[in-house]
Amino acid sequence: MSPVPPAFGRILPGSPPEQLAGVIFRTPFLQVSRGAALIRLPDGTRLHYCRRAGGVQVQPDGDPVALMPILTQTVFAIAAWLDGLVPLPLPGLVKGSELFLFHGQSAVEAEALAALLAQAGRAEVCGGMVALSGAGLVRLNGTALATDAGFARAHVPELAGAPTREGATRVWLAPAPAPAGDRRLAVTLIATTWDNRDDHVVTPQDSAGTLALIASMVFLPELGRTLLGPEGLAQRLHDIAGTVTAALIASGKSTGRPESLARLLIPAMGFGGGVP
Amino acid sequence: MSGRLVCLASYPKSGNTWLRAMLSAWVQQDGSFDINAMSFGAHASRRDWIDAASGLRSGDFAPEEAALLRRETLGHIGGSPGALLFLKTHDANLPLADGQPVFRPAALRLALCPIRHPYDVALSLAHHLGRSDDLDGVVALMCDPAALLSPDEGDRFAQPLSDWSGNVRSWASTPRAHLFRYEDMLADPGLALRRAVRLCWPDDGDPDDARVARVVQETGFDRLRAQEAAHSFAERPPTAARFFRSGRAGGGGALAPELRRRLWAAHGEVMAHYGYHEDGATGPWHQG
Repeated sequence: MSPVPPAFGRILPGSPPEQLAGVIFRTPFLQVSRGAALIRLPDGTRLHYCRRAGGVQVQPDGDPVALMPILTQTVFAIAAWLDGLVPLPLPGLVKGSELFLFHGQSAVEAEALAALLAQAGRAEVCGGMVALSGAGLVRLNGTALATDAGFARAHVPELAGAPTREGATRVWLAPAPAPAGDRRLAVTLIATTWDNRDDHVVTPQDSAGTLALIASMVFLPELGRTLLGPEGLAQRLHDIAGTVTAALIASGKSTGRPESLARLLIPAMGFGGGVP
Repeated sequence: MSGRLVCLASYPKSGNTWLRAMLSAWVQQDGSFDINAMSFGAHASRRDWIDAASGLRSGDFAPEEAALLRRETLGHIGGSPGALLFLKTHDANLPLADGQPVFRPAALRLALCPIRHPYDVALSLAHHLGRSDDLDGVVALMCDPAALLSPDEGDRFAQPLSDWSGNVRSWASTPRAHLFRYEDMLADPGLALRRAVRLCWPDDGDPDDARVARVVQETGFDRLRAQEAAHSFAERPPTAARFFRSGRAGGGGALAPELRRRLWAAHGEVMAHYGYHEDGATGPWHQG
């Protein structure tokens, strides 16, 4: 079983509050203040995250492994916002000094694509949630993020772990080591878009296209607007877009399987291996 | 005060996309209606924007939990201030595990619900699903109260259809839901458009005749088919050779007698209520 990332996976003693004080952003499941977040799941489970507390309070007592989806996806994302970073719900690969991020119409395709390319390129998978600053920093509190590899089991059986929901094929990868220090990585964003054409087409994006892509995949943009203001959010995205190279793949309708996209991308990314 | 969600809700292949096309062209106004650029009527089963609005990754939840999450998120969105938000759905509006329906009444401004003779639906749905050689299975689907159009996976939530009459009943009993017979839309699309426009924007006065005529022309089946033939249609499933077919009514009379009998046995009460005859014809419907 994958270990829980130490920064947020630790379950702290105590009960989460019923309500958060000073709420500035609210969804049916989230309350966010300037320093804390309270998450209430459909089953009644509550999680309370406070900045710099080093963990979360959970009630009723939760199994940290079962809670990993929430810890790694939601808590990390909110923590990133509170830390002034912009979280993107993307799987990524780290290879040398390069970070490749994948964004697809569904998380499934992007995650399967990342898993396939990780094998082909002997790269490390990092982050189902990636946080970026304008400088391209891709780590959060010293730990690259554990990832939900989605339906990767079908493609990469050895990555399989325990399912997190009945009948699911979801798997977890161990947290990858954080990039050493504050090392900046060259970030390449690879976004696929569903298309009606027969063939795949890869289109390098200019800065405006890159900005539009990033803006389209920002996690909880309303929270960003609330915390940063509309202009602040726009400036932050603009800064990030300046550090990212992006390519858009029009994914052909009849050949839109991740394997097909992987074959197209392997040479473009300089990866030597074939599709598993 | 009701919410701001406007559902275009129907059993599949009942005219939902056509009605959406008409309303899209109505809003667009500039005469350049494009079937691949309908920014109108997002699909209610899409996971990405529910995830974004809720702040949770619904794929990490069990399907029944994910359904609650979607309902609460839609309720939150629908209950918040803002412009009307149009959603397309094929879900039956039935109670979830907690006894409350998929679409909270407080979030729903109104629902526009096309219905169609189930014999015609069977033939069209079989083509849509790539199961034209499995009409028996498609009719079984239409008679299955537990039927799903798609399961909870990938970029979509589960789409619980119920059976044909269960789907129709669920919407007919929803507050502020308005049923449109496909056959009536076909006979007088302008009348159907006027009715839909009045319901959506009651404060805008009577729809302008010239604008109605333009939209009807722009979204006629021949035009939709021609657009799909020239540029394909992004919403066409890979299983279907084309999305827009003949659009005719009454073709379901060609369904095998045994299959018609099964549909009538399962849905005859609701069919008769809406003027759908056992022989495949459509008679008057006296809206009460």
